[in-house]
Amino acid sequence: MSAESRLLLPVGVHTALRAHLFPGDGNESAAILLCAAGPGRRLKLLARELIPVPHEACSVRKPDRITWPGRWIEEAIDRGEKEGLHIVLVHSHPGGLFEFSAADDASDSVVVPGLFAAYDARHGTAIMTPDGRMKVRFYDHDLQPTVVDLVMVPGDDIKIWWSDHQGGPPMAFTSEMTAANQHLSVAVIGASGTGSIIIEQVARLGFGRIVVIDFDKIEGKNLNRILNTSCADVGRFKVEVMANAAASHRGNGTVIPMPTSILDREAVIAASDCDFVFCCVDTLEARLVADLISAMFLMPLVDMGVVIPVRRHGGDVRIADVYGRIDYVYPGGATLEDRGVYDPERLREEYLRTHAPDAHRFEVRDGYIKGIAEEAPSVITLNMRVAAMAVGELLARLYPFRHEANRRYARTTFSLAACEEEYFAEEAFTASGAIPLARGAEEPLLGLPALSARRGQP
Amino acid sequence: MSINQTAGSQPAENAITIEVAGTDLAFGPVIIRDRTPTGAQIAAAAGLTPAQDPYVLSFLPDGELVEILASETVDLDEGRRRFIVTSADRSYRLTVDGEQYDWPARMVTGATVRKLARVPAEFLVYLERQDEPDRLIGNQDIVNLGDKGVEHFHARKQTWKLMVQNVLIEIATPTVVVADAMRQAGFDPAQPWHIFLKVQDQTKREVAANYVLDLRTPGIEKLRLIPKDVNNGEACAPRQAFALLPVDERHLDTMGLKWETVVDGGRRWLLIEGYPVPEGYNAAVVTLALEIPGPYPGAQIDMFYVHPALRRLVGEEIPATQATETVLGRIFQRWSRHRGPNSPWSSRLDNVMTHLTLVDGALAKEVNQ
Repeated sequence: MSAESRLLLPVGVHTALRAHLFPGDGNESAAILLCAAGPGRRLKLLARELIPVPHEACSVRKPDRITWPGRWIEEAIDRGEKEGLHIVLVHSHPGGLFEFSAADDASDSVVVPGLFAAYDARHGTAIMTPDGRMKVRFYDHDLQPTVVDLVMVPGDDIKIWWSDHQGGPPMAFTSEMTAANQHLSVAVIGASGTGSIIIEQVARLGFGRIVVIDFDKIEGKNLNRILNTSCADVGRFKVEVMANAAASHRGNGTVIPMPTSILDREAVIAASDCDFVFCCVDTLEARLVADLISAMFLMPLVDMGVVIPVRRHGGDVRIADVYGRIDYVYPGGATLEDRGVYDPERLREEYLRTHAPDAHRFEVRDGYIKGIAEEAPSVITLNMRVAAMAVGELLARLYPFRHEANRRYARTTFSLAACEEEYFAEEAFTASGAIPLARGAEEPLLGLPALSARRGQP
Repeated sequence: MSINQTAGSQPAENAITIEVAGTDLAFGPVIIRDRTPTGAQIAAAAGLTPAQDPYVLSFLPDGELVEILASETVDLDEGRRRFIVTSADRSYRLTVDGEQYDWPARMVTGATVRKLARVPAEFLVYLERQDEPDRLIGNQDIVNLGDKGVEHFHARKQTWKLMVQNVLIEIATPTVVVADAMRQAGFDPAQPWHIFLKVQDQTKREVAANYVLDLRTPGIEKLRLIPKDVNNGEACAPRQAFALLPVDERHLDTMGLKWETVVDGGRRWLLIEGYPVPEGYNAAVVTLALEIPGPYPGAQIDMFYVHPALRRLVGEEIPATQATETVLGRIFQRWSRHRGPNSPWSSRLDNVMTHLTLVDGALAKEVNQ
């Protein structure tokens, strides 16, 4: 089982596609997907647009056969060529055959050359069975087909269909789960208090590749809360220490260290090659980037935050709360921005606080910026709790084990002071759809000019 | 209007000087004693006898060249003083830019066509040809007018095109010094540049600022410039320390103002030079600065900054413009102007362009425009 190529469908596109392909009459149906590609090295097709071929437009619709008019392909070519989108022709196998048939091969040999004649891209074809599974193949210039290893639909549950495996997901917390994880990869933004604990977990859980992004170096004051660090590590990049630690029990190459800011083009491209994102940071800027990665590269995102607000009581300072938050975000659902985790005003404020502390202080004084509470330093017990829940959140989506639907747990918060946990369903938030889905490699990357190839450079 | 009297130059009271040339178009003075001579009289004055089959052409005041028959009279008072007199039994017809000329010789040189039609030096003369490119006629080139049909010539101003770092310039001469081409494209050749000449189908090579480009070489493509040291001196070419949104860059380019992006002490600034402000201020234009946060457009742009500081010509101090900010050593006046709660920044809809509308609105408001 190779793990390199993927077709990702936003849950909305997959639901619409399935409804169209299986109208209930038991006959084959057809549709076209226009897909962007990710910017990374791995082939990652991101379904952006669905063009259903109307049932009545097909001259033949039988349980094992369909003939559909080529002018819908022309429509797809017209819409896809401008943005260089890859065309995938999909039809249904109502009988449940999870293979390309001889008829499919014959049909492809006629149709696919026409797609390549229209414009150059990774064109392909796909089938869907009634349970929603898909198998996809794309063609090279010699019209040799290659089957895409994995089709993923990241929603409340993360549906994964391997091209060579028909069963459902393995049971959570078993060695089968660990084996399955081997073919999946994780991007971790931030390798500090919570990040190091996330990395420890995903490495032990067997994930095949872990890209870790953090520009920071270890300081003596970090040793109280960063796993796998020692006094000897002070001054080293956090990501390198993490990579060495993982290598000691997983072998070399499991953790790929990226010692740079997340506002770095190479880091974003490396993250885009992964399947999931964990956001373990204390900046809004990084959360914005994680949000954009999730939507634009169709990657489920788990974001976490901890805070220990304090209050004054007479002359004393007392703990007001010990608080943690875990958000699970899927492409097309409510984003971190939709959930109020950050906004344009606070992003500017954070920029100013970081790059122009004097100006920031003046603006706070002048009332242009609302003063924000200083965040107390986090502690390892709190970090471990929130990081364990964050990884548990991903496992629950991949290998469902909850008694109730995952949709009820879009956000979890807990208070160690009040000994309370709260759950927010996806419906508690409004998905604005403001971030375009499946943008892929379009420039500027993630729509952020800071990530674009610099003006004036080739 | 009487004839042009250049007093003292006339040898006798009724003698008139005309200019006569052969097919070499080298005009010389000839004296004639009749204000309305015939073609035969002009030929005789030029020294040709009737037996030599004289052929007389007259320049009309508008430059047209017409044949004068032996018996035909010319009124010299009408300003017709230039003639071509040659020995020929027929004339050959040609046109230059549609204007018709008759030429008494079978052969004509490029220089003659140029002289006939008074083609300016910076123009080139082309002979129109069917089904193939027009032929460039140099001064020494000889064209045979004896072929069937009328020869059509065209005068075209010559320009050569050159790309200098994505700026297309046109040059009137076939050769140009690299430094001149850079200046014409808006780059300061005094700055330390690596200059690369890229010719189609050839490997690029570095050239010096005093290198002479021959634009007649087929396939000259472009000059590319790379600063030798970006920290060395203030570059004339706009600095692009970071990128903006493509829509911003297009808009700023079309404003026709110099703009650049700079980073100063970790802060990211867009600077627009010569930004016009409404009447009523102490300045007509300012340098406008917008601070562009790193995660822009996810992070919003707020306020704006101008240099020099603006004050009203009439009226009191402008509110909320008292703070300053220093960018690359220049002091900017900060205008604390913000979006209202009803129009919050949208990372999908807002950009430099939309923020400039806030700037313009704020500037106009203070002078009641």
